Amino acid sequence: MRFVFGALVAVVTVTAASFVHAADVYDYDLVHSSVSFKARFLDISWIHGRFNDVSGKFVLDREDPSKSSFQLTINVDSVDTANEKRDEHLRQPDYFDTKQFPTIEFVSTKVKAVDGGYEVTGNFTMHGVTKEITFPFMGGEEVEKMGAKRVGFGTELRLKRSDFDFDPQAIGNIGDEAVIIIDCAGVKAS
Amino acid sequence: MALLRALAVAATVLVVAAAGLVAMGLAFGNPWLLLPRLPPRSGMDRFLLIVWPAACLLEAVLAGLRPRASAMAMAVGGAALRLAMAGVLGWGLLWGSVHLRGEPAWLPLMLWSIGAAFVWQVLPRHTSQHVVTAAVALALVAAGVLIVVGGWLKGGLAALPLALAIGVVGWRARDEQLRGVVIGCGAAALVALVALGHFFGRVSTLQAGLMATSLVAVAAVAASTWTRGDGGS
Repeated sequence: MRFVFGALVAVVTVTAASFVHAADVYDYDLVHSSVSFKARFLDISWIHGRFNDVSGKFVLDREDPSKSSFQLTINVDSVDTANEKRDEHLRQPDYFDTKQFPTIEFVSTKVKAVDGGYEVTGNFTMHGVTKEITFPFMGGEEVEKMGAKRVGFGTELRLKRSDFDFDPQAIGNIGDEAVIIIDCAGVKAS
Repeated sequence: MALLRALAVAATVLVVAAAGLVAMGLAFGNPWLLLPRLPPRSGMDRFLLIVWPAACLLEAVLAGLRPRASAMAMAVGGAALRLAMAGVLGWGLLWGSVHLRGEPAWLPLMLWSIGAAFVWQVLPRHTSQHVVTAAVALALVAAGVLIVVGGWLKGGLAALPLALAIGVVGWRARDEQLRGVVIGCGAAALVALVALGHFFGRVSTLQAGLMATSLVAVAAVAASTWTRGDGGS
């Protein structure tokens, strides 16, 4: 009798476990991703740049997307506009003030599935100021290539530097609005 | 020969006048550089809203106590208070920055505090000398130039209105006590700006060290018997 009861418990446990799904966790793939930006120069052209040191984590719950989450951390010192002197100036307190505000961070608070991806809401912190933003994060289809499971996402954010307490005097020659382009891949964490 | 000499003098006067006009234009044209943002999140904001006012307040309090206390008590008490204040204010300048996260940069901060307290302590004690006022104002300009050359434009330019204010008020002050307060405020601004340039700008350790050494030299000159004998009161 005791043996039958034990076997029954084991069967129920195994069956239940097969129905419980775990969310997939992906690490930001630095090699196959980029966070770049562009800003207007004298309102006649665009200056382009990128951040070379970015890390992050995506948690995707495909059964219940509201339980998914996205987190991204950008090391601002890694700013690269292909001009070392300009990069050095961008790191200074006239612009990013990287000794005071070394990172730009995004942490999602709400995720909703939409056609072709997700609508993500979260806290975006730049230059010591946190604002809630919502943006479409398109992608998310998993592929198994190069020995790992991978997903990719992309979006464009349009932010005003004045909303993030940048020095108003540093907003002139370089326009207030900056476009941040995120194209990133995630590798499933082992 | 006389013509050459006259030309040289005229050229010198022109250059000095032009430099003076540019400096005055920058100094008067840039007071908005000293407008801090609220809440004070950056090092410059904390300097303008907290650190410098606190240092000036301490100077005013010490000046008020001077007639009522013995010279020894003022020297020892002033040194102790300025050292303590320099430590607290240095910490305040770096608040929230990478320098106080992880493994805080205690050694540079401690060295800065001790050096700052020395400069700050020695200069205001020699209040009778206009040369000290001028030296502090010029050193502020030099610190500003150093910060600008390091790439932080606003940080360096902000030194100019400060230098002008310290120079003019200190020079015009007839009251010796007031001049002492002004020199003390100038010395505090000076050491704080060098710290800002080093910790937040790209003023290197060598540059900051050279600047600090020159400040200590100014302080030492101010403390010397020769200069004391040359005083204006």
